[in-house]
Parts: sequence; C-alpha cells; structure tokens
Amino acid sequence: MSITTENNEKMITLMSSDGEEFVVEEAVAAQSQTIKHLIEDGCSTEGSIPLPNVTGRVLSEVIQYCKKHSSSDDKEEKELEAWDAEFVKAADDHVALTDLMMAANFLDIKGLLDLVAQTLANMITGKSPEEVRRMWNIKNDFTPEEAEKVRKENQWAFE
Amino acid sequence: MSQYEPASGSCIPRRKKKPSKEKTQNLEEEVVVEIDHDCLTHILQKIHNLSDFIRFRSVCSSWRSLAKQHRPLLLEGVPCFLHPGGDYFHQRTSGFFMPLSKLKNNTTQLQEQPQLSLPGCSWSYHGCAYGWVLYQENPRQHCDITVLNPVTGQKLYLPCPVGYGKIFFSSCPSNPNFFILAASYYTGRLHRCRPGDESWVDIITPKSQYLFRNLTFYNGQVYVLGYDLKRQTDEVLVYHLNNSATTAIVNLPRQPEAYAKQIEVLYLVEVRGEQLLLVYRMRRKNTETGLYNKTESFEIYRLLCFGNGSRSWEVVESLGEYAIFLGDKCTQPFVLSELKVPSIRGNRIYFMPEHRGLRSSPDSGVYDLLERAVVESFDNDDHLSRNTPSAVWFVPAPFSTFKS
Repeated sequence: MSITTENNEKMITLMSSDGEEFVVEEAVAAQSQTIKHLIEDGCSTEGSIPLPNVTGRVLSEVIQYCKKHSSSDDKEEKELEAWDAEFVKAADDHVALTDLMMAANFLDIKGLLDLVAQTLANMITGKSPEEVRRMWNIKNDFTPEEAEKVRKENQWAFE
Repeated sequence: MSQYEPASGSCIPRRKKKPSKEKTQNLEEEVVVEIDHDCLTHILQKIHNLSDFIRFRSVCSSWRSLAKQHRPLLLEGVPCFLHPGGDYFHQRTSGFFMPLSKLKNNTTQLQEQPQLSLPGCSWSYHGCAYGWVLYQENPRQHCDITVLNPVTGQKLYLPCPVGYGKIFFSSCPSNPNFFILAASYYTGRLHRCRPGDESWVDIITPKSQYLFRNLTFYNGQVYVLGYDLKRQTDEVLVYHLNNSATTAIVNLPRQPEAYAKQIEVLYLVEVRGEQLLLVYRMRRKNTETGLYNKTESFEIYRLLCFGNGSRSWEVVESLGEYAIFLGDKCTQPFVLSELKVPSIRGNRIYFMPEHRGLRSSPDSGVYDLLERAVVESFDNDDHLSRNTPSAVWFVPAPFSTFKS
C-alpha cells in the first residue's frame, strides 16, 4: 500500500529476504533502477515490494546510501565523497562489502555499485593471488599447464 | 555445528555464514560469501595496474577467463630500466632489466628477475615503446629489423630502413593498425612501414631542408619538431600523413639555447590523446667531462588549439598525477599516472641520458616540478653505472594481444 506523508511524499515499503520492512520515500527507493521499474510496472500498489535477494541488514545500508544521495543534489561534491568514504569504511570488511555490492548490482544502483567495486578493487590491490583466494574462499583450480603459465606471468607482477 | 548457523529469529540479521555442510571449516570465524560474475566484472574494471591485473588473472580459472573477456583498455606496469645489451660500438653485452621499484633494493640480484627473451649479442638497439623493442640483427650487414616483445617473445618483422634516425610507433605493435614512422635525421625524410610490408614508403614531407628532432601523433596529425635550415629556427610542423600539405607551422615559445652544444634538448610528449606537451630539458656543463650533459631543469608547455586553426603554447606549472618518462633519443617518451602505478610519483619527470653509447656519461634521475629541482639521481646505482651504453625506459607488456 502506498502511503503519502504530510509533505506529499509518496512512501513505499520494501521487504527484505528475511521479512524486515522498510518504509521509504519513493524518490529514495527509485534510485534503484530495479525498484523504479517495479513501481512503474505497478508492483508496489498491492503492498510492499519484496526483495528476495537482499537481507535486512544490507537493505538498511543501501537505504542509508540512497537517502544521502537523493537529498544531497545541491550539496558539495566533496562532502558527498567524504560521506561515501565513511560509508564504505563502516561496512567494515570485504564480506559485508561483497553483500552490499551484490545488492547494489541486483537493485541496479550505479553510484553504489561503482563505489563498492572501487573499494573492493583497492582491497585486492597489492595482495597475492593466495591472499585473494582466502578472502573469498576460492579454490586454486588451475591445471598444471595453466599453473605454469600463471607462474611465468607472475614473475612480471612486481611488488 | 549449530554455532555456524545464522542466528535465526534475530531482529538484526547477522551477516551470512555459510553452514559447513559439504566440508569441514577449521577456521572458527571463517565467513564465506560468494561473489558473482557481474560484481567481479565491476571490480575488474576498476583495476588499472598491470601487476594487480596479473594477480587477478592468477586467482582461479574462472577469474582468469573473466580477465580475458574484460581486459581493461589501459593497463600500466611498473617502469623498468632496460639495458638492451647488444653490439654497441663493438662492445658486446647481454641485456637485462631492473624495475624502478627494485632499484634501491641492493640485495636484488639480476638473476632473480623474470627472464627476457632478448636476442644474443650481435644486435643493435633502435628504439623502444609500449613494452616492445626495435632492433636489428647483424647491424653491419644490410638486414631486416625486428620488433620484439621481450616478455612474450612475440616478434614482428620489418624491412631494412632507408636511413636511421627517430623511430616512432603509432600504437602498441599488437594493434592491427600499427605502423612505424622513421625520420632520418640527415635527409629530412620521413618513412612509413607496417609489419608485412615489402619496403618503407616515403612520406612526402612539406620541407626538404629540415632536421628532425622529434615527432609524435596528436589528434590524428603528425607533429614534427625540427630545425628549418633555411629559416634557421626550431619549429613544429603539423601535417596529415596522407596529405603532404602542411596544415600549420607552430613557432616555439622560445628558441632553444645553442642546440649544437647540446645545452638544451626538446621533446614532444602526447598525454593520452588529450594534450600535447613540449618539454625543454636544460643541461649544464659536467665539470669532469666538459660536456653539456648534466640535466638541471625542465620547462613544459602545453599546446593550445583555437577554433580558427591557430595554435599557441601555454606554460605548464604542474603535471598533477602524471609523470613523464624521457629516455634516449630512440625511446618514445611516455606518461604514467601515480594513481595507477604506485611506485612512481606524479608531477615529476624521470629521465635518462639523451645519448646512449660509450661516450655518453651518466645523466639519469628524477626532476620534481614542485621543487623545481632534480630530487633523485640513478647515476650511482651499481647495476646501471656498471653498464654502458646506458639503459632505456621500458614498461613490460606481458600479454600478446595488448590493446593500446
């Protein structure tokens, strides 16, 4: 059900995969292209928009980002950049960031996706392949021939 | 195993912990998330440093195949000192290289460096750009020249040039449109050749009595820096490759000081298709050798193009994140960003001696534009000073199909 506030802002309800509900202004939620299209297609009139891929914890972070970015059109870019930096710092580690990034990808929020991708790229900068594997629990699945190619190439990956 | 299960019913959802069903997790707080292809692609697109790109390719086979599909357009590697070796003035030496980032590490042994596939001893170096080296085997015989990527071993062949002088690579040699321009210092002629061509093609140049000093491409046109023997001035000629008409002559902001005495050397440096810089390198007399070859300072100008076709120069105070690399006269100058190559610093000029050869004396270091001074010298480095002729700048390109 859509609710309208005194300011005549249309509100919509988002429901996370674990059943948490978030009531947000439509303008905030519409920063997500996915949600915007769902609203346009009339999917929100029946009640809340279910987001089966996003947990409540992640969704609350996403909403925090969207709120900041929808309200700060006239604010200085630098201030917003500083806020973004704090925001990803608060997300704490690569696991939380990965969750956040997958949500940003699913919800199609370009700014957030860029921000988190850059943060994760910075995190793997300078790390050895083994360290990166450990971050995401990835199995080293190269065949002996490939492994030899990789080894040769890595001679060129200077510190 | 219940301690690994997500806390159900909690009002604050906890981060997802993968229940260890298939395999035993021995690390107690091991948190596992899977990263999907889409997201990984986004991360990959933020990687511009060559070393990080190589490491990315080395994680696992799916990351590697992703890196093959989405190779970033511009990758930057650590600049190296390449000592090409070869038969230079009959002194036969073998080649080696040294990454800039390892130069100060005295414990670094040359043997520990990855291998370069450089030819044997009897060859002569003619130029270097985009991580490729141009050389001629058996220089005393009249024979073809080779363009080699010493990292991958890939080779391209070109016919023997008409005369020697300035060599210019239009792009990375693995680019299908790649060609080379060769400007003869003394005949004032310009020649073009593509891999597979039978011979070099003469390019009708607008001036005959002309000494080429330097050339580059900018905005689809050739910019030639040279000395007009008739007018007795240094100037920049601008023209299209397929059209002999000079579109413009651009006067220099000031005439260089006594070129003949080698006090000043001029370079044209193109910055990513966005800017064309004119660099004056000023040298003073070396009291030991009596030659003018100790670099003292630099002056940089930027080309301004106006709507009415006129052009002029503007003084550049700062290069920002960019650093310029100037090698000897055969080595194409290039620009790297400190944001993408952590081991260098922006707003600096990394320079090597302008002349390679036994008679050249060491003159390599780093000039800082903010401090307006040479802040670092490589002249006393063991590896570099022991070897003459001097090294050239080289950025390794470890992949055979490398977009420029």
